[in-house]
Amino acid sequence: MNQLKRPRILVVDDNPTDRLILLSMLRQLDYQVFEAENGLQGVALFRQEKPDLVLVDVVMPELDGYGVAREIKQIAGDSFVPVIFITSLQQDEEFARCIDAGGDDFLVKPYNRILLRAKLDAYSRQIQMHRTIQAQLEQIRENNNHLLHEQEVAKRIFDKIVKPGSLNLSNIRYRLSPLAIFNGDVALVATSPSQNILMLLGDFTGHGLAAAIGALPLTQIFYGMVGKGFSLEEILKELNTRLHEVLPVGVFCCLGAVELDIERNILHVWNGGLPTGVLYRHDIGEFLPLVSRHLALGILPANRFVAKVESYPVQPGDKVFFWTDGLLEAANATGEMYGEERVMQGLQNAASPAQLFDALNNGVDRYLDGVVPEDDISLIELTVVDRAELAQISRPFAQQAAQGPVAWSLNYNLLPDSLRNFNPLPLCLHILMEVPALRSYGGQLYTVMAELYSNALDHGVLQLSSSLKSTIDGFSQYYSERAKRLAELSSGFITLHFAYTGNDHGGKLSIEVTDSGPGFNFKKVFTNEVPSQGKYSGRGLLLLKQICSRLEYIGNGNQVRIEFDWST
Amino acid sequence: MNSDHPLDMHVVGELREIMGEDFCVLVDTFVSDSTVRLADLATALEDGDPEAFRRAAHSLKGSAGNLGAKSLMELCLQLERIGVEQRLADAPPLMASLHSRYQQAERALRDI
Amino acid sequence: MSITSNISADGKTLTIAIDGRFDFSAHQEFRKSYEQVAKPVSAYVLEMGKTTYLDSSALGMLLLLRDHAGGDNANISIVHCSEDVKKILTISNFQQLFKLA
Repeated sequence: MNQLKRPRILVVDDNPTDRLILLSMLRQLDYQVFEAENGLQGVALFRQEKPDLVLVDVVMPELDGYGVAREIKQIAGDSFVPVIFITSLQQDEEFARCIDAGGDDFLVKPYNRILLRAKLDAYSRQIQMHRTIQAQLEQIRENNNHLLHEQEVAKRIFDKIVKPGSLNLSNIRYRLSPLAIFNGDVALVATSPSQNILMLLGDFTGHGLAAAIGALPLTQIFYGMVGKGFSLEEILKELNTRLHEVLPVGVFCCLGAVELDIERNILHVWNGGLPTGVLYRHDIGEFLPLVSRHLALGILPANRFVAKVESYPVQPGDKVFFWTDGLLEAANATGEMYGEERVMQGLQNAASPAQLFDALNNGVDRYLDGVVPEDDISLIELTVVDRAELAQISRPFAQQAAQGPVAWSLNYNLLPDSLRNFNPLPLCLHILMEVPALRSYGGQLYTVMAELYSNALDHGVLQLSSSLKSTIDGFSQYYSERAKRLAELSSGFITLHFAYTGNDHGGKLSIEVTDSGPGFNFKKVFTNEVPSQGKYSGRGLLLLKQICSRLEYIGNGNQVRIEFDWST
Repeated sequence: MNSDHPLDMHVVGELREIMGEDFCVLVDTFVSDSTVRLADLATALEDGDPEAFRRAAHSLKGSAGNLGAKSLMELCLQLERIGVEQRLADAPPLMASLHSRYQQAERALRDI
Repeated sequence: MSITSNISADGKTLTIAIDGRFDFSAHQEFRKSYEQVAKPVSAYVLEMGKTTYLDSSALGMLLLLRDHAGGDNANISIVHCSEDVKKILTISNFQQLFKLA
């Protein structure tokens, strides 16, 4: 019925006869009544009893009906308390005055029982409806505050877990709002044991907690795997698998990611769903587009996901840029979006490479001219550096004081299936790091193993020629061919043999890598001091010679042995 | 209009339904209140206060109407207008009629 | 923004037309249009001739439709996109999941 239970009515009338009649009528209708014989008493009684409805006579001495109505409405505030004027006045304009004075209705004397009842019923329903709505509003307000509070708490938790990592490396510049995660934007940078820098910029669909949730597995997997030396492709595969499992259909993460191999000056790039990024080559002043060639993370199941990166030769001074679509869609006061053209123009017109980031960052702010963008603008710049320029190097493993093994050897034989799907290096490094003395050489040892292993795999088992890597076009061809051959691999092997002896003052580690390939004529190659096979391919050998105390090729050249010494 | 009976029995009938046992209380209230109003009217006339006159007439008119005392009510309406239009001089001739109509109404009510 | 749909004469293809901005506000209606079909259909055509804009939540809705329509076995074509809309779809590489015409 939606009616109030036993509504409480206040009657304010200075005429005792009228009051008596009205009160009797109301009691008969089962209302609970209060009476006041003048305006002041009426207001005081209203304050005290807070009735649901008020019937007030217009003509009263001192405070008349209009005055009473005004005061009562003020006291009632947001609550809906109908005030009905009782009048015996005949003129129409008096009726109008009643409503103007803030009253809700009027009743004419002498009282008509039927009309009285009808009006009161109608107002009862209105009061009930009003209260229901007020209660709902209160509930909504409360829920909202609750949500806001939860978000604050969640944000604090997120800040602890989704650490920026190495975002503060000196060759990284970025723009992220403090609420970036809650808008689905994540930027992560980390350094691998071999001193590669891996960076990603992610944009989860949606907003709020739903968008932010994905950032947790993304961050944990990224940092965990980079720390163990996994490659970008391996990390992307794992990220996609996990996000595909965790995120509901329709939610995904657009991602731009790069791995900068500082030693080899190669940049590996993967873009799935982010707007086209840019690789700036500073020697020729050109901007190379890094187009999204893949579906965003979390959409495809593991068996259909393509982690294939594109590889570019780079030099110190080159820069990589990625941004989320918030930058392109930032709209000014007239609603016009910033757009890709303006972004590129800003970059082209920058006065110097050092100002490219500012061109992006300040350019859009100038365009917006005070308008707050709807979607977060996130962007990141990575400058290619050589090892000497890196101001901060992160230590991949924590120091442990425990005694480690001092005399041991290990044989590890990898067959085609493993070669195709598995990267043994993180595990091998992990084993080497069990030797406390070797921990400070983790970076170098990883570099050595990676070099030996990739040579064994690429040139030995897959029989790729590194001469292809000497040109820029040849680069992508090389990696394409590599992927193809690896996928088709059905025979072959690589064996890793480690041996270590040492004590408190020094030690020797030897690593032998044997592959099933035909080998090469190493005597011929090594008669030249400077490697003759082009800038990009010969550096590996130089590196080995710098780090290792001994390097020799054995047999057909399909077996290589290095020794690494340390001493206090 | 001028019916014989000073009261509209239809109205009175409803009132008796509404008031039930308290009908006498109602009549007593009416009588005591009306006495006050009549006195107020006289005072206002003496003082030459049209506003006070109007208020008293208005009030008596209201309760008279509520009790079905139609002819009393109509006279009160006239007196109220006199007060509004500030023509107190027109009042004295009507005062005698006012009192007699009131007596009739009171007697009729007590008879019920 | 309005969503209209109709079924082909042979009852096998559902065409859904999206007019205006295809964003989060279209969520309920879009879902209703393919869920409330009397008999299951085997093909879907998304008519985007009058679609002015597509955001990431719209992409999500497309994925939901695809999931509903059988995932990898779904037969969904997106037709008559403007250049802008097509660009959004290609940057997202959705042509790998839907037929773009």
